[in-house]
Amino acid sequence: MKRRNRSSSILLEVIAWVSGLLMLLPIYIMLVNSFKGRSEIFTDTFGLPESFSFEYYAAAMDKMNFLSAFKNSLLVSIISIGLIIIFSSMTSWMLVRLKNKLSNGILLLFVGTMLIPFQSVMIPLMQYLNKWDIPSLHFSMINTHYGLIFMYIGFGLSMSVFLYHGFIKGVPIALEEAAMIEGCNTWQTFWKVVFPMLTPITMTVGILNLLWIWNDYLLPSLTLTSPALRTIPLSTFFFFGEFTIQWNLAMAGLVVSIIPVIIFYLFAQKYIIKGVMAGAVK
Amino acid sequence: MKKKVGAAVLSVAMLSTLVACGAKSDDGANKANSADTTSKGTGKKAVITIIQNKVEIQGALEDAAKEFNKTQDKYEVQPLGAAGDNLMTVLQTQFSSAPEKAPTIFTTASGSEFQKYLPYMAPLDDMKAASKIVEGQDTAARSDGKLYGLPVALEGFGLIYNKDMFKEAGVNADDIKTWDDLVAASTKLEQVKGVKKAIAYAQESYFRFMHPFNWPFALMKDTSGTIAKINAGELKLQDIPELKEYVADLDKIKDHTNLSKDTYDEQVAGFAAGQYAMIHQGNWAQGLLNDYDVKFEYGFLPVPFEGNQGIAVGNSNFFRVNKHASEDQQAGAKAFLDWLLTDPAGQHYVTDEFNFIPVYSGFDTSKMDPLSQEVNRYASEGKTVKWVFDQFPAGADQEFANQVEKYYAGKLTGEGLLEALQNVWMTAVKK
Amino acid sequence: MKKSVKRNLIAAAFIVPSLFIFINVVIIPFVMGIVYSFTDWDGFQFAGSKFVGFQNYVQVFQDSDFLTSFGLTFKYAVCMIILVNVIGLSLAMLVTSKIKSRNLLRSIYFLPNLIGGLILGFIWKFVFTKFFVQVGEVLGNSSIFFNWLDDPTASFWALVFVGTWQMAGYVMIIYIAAIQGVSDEVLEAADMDGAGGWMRFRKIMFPLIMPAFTISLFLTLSNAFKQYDTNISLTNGGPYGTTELVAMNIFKTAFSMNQYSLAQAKAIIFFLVILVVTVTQVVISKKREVEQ
Repeated sequence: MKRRNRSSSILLEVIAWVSGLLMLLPIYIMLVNSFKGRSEIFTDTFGLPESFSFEYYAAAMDKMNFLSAFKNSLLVSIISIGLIIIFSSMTSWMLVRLKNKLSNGILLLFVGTMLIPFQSVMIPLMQYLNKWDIPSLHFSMINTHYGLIFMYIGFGLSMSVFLYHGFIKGVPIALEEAAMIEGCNTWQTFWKVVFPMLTPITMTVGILNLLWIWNDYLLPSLTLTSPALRTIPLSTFFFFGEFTIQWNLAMAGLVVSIIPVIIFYLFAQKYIIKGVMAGAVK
Repeated sequence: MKKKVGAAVLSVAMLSTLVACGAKSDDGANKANSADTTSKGTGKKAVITIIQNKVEIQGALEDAAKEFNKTQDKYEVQPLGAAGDNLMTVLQTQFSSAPEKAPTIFTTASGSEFQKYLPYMAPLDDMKAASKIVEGQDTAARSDGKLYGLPVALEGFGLIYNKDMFKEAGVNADDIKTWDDLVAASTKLEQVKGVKKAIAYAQESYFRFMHPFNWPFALMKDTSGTIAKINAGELKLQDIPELKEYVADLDKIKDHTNLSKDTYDEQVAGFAAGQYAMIHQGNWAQGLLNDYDVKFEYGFLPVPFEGNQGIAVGNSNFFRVNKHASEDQQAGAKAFLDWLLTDPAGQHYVTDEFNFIPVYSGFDTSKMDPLSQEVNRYASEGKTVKWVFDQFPAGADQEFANQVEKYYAGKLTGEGLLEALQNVWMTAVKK
Repeated sequence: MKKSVKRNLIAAAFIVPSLFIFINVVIIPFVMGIVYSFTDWDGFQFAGSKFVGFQNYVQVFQDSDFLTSFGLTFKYAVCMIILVNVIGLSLAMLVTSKIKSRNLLRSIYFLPNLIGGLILGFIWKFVFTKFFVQVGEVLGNSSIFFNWLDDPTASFWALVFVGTWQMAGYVMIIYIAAIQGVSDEVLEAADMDGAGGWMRFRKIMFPLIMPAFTISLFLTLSNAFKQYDTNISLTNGGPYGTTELVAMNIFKTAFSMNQYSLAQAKAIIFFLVILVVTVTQVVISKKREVEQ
């Protein structure tokens, strides 16, 4: 019995690493090509670069105006994701607890619209939000970060509500009732009792939205025109011509731009586990 | 309870429309206002935004804008950015939602794109640069006698060939007078070590179909008349002698090509690496060749279809000025373009930094890059073929290229290719 | 009475802010899009467009390319749902099992998601057009290692492969959250009862991760149906237009063919069909969730 366990765990380890390597293949291609000259990329796509110089990183970061783009991306992502989490967790919890036809209807509305292809709403969306324009207050949804954040919240709510809703259904109601009896109002109950229990799913929602917002090109390309407002993906436009791509710069730019997401993932991963353990102890 | 939540939902919806309605009535005021903030009265500069399709020149364009901004204090030129294939989406969205906020200067192609954006273009006849356009290069930007665009650059395409390799193979480029000469030369060139195929086409729809098929259409007697007949359904592609001959020629050369499998990047890289002796490309490849650090000499060779001795020279890309921008912005846009195209300080950017072949008189062209000089040489000798591919039906380039891909893959014969192209053509015309 | 008013106000306070943003960003533009699909809108200002009834819808059904890509998209979605979830769940179980390098592997599996769909497609294009060909040359005539993108069937599977490769790590994250929710005590209890690996999975894990399953199925389905980036960058519909998925077809109809109202009609039909499919799927799996 024991022996079988050991050999099967070795087998598992092997399978795990084989799939891990397959996962890493494109990452490897991305990394090595960020060090190659443009012609070397085509003559030797898969080999190691002739030299490891960071010139393409420097060039890419310079062209992208990386610091400014990074700040913009960080600002937009953090605020959007923070608000998505706040709004969608509150809404989902209420929808689960209300449990009537209307709340089901609202849920269906959120979930159903996840299926809308973005390309089919983008022109009407821009036409509509362009009307939200109060020049005297310098308020405009177009070409502003808050306008973009507003849209990200709108598009992000669907999936987030869907995820929270699925998770909250499994959260026992007893704790909430106890809190209510102890005199907490609904607001306090949600934030002090319910929300902490949602940590694993909150982190998941955070990661999934971060992946999307951090990499998104199309929506910001339509709303942000001022160079000073560009996010990281927008600032890579330099490398993508109509017919030609500056691979080394594009890859170098990509490597620097995904590092923050990896850091966030490693950080969030801890919380997914911690959150669960905290929940289990209670 | 349900009712109450329902009422809440409804009130949210109403609130939204209220905001929208409030803003709508503001619209007129808004336009006036934006014009106001940009007028000289307030002492603020008018902001001129510019968006264009060649990301390769973006950095140099930003430098040019900076320099222009220093020379005067009325306008502030601000280049915006869009990745190559994203430009059309951005333009479409911006013009459909708020034309007055769309870029002041933008670029579009001639032909169908010109017609599409014509309602948003200001006439440019009064510009200094307009009077200096090389003869004949402004026709594609005219409508009802008025000029609606300034050509961006003159461009030429043909076969870019590796001169050193030709020498090695003992092929004299000047001796290639007919298609059969080309085939014979290809056979010889393929003997050279390292050469995979003599000729390479790129796979993008422009490089796979539009440019290669410019030859038979441009070299027939009455191109516009023929195309009009095809559009009217009176003539079929498979009945046009020039096309029949061109396809027969393709049959002969097919085995000596890469079957148009490479991307543009790969094609030029293969040429730089000595895997291809010739590539069907234009002088826009210069930047790429520089980046690939090509050591050998290269130049242009005509595609010898029906004994043709010229390369295809034209321009299909134009600067446009947004008619819906404020008057100040439009004036600034014209001032900037005039500076760029007629002032020596601006011209320096066009030839030396953008690596463009100017379409305007009064440029110093002595320092141009090798391929541009080749195009100029052909042009000065009068050995040019017109660009006519913008007369092909709009939006069908990918569909056409798909048929050519089938042909290269052996799924279509030459004859079959023409029939397939005919079908695509007619479907596109009907739409 | 008063209490219930207060309760409703509280409920509204939790729901209305979300709903307000959602309606303005998604619902209103979508409704505008529906209106557009019944007109001859040309892609610019809507004012001046004429109402044309169902003309666009009729035209959609005469567009054989659209119907072909619709069928292909269905096939794609089915393959994706199966592969992504089987692999995603397996990965999640691997990295939550007791194998040594689970923490490292978890991050590795997650990495593919960091590369956006466009660049990802381009990178895989390198793999198929160059790496596969090189390996094939080394191995001699190979039936696996050739340029997949040259062949219509293989090209389709290349799309599935790359899509799976990317999305498996995505749903893995969701499955991990669910598996972590299964407490160790439950599993230990199962071990004590002598439940073997498969039994343990079927009887204990599976019911508990069922909600995650529903979610992942739905996400895969909607992502597969909306797939655009990888389609454009990996195959660009090729070879010769054989791998054009619906989103690409719609985008092309609008932006290259300039038939904006027709594109809207296609999008609406497409939306309705996936809605029916997914609602059916969600209803079925919800039912099973309860039964379990």
